[in-house]
Amino acid sequence: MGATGIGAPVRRKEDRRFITGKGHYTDDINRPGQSYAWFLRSPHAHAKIRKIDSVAATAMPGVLAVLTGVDLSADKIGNLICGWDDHLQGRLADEDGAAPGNCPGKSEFCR
Amino acid sequence: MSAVALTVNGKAVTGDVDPRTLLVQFLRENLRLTGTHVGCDTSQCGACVVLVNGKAMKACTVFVWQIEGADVLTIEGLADPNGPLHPMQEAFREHHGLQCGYCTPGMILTAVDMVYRKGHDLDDPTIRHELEGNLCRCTGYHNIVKAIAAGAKAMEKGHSKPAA
Repeated sequence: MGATGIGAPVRRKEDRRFITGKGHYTDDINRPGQSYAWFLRSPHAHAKIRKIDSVAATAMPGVLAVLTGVDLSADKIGNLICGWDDHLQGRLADEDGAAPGNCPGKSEFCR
Repeated sequence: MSAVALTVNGKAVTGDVDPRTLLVQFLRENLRLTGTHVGCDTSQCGACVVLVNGKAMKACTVFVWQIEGADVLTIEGLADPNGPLHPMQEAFREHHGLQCGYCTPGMILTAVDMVYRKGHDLDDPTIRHELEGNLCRCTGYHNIVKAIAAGAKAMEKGHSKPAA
């Protein structure tokens, strides 16, 4: 392999920060007033969710909001990558014949 | 809450913490030293390894009060920020022992501990066995093993185990 040019090993520009602990991963972000989202997923793959009762969770101290799939659609938040897929709502609506947005939702793993 | 005092990267630090506070939480959240990572939360992955009194320790396995008064070294303190890299850091860069870098701080500090205990001439089986507590999910271990062997040799010049 040549010392320079095509085929030569290249020193990566990003390595220095990673080997000195200066990388900046999602969990390292700390902004003023930062809040945290936590995704509660169904323990059952492809189960139909008939109802979500979030009253007690919403009432807990420190909880800003509890958003269900229906809420995310209604608020037009759209898809959250690796968190939630808006299309699941429509899919269940098709299966159940219910109107999109009013359906109770469906759980899927790895969405 | 309970008061803790220890030395981190050569500086005296104190904190008033919930007794359930893990060392890794104290480092990341109280001291904002985010180079120590939480990969699994279950003491399997080794991303949180730091040196406590010169020995590798998974910072998610220990409450900070348990190491009251200890001398802790994190990845941020391994080399002077304005000086040259530590030979083990240099070796990881030179041998492409990282890609995403998430496991790297724990890998490097585990490697330094390995050299302190096993010396500067480390063969592949030794390194691979010693790395059983550190998981890498993207680079693969081949280049990490090469980096540690080279870093161990490079540490012969002035980077032996500090006196206890």
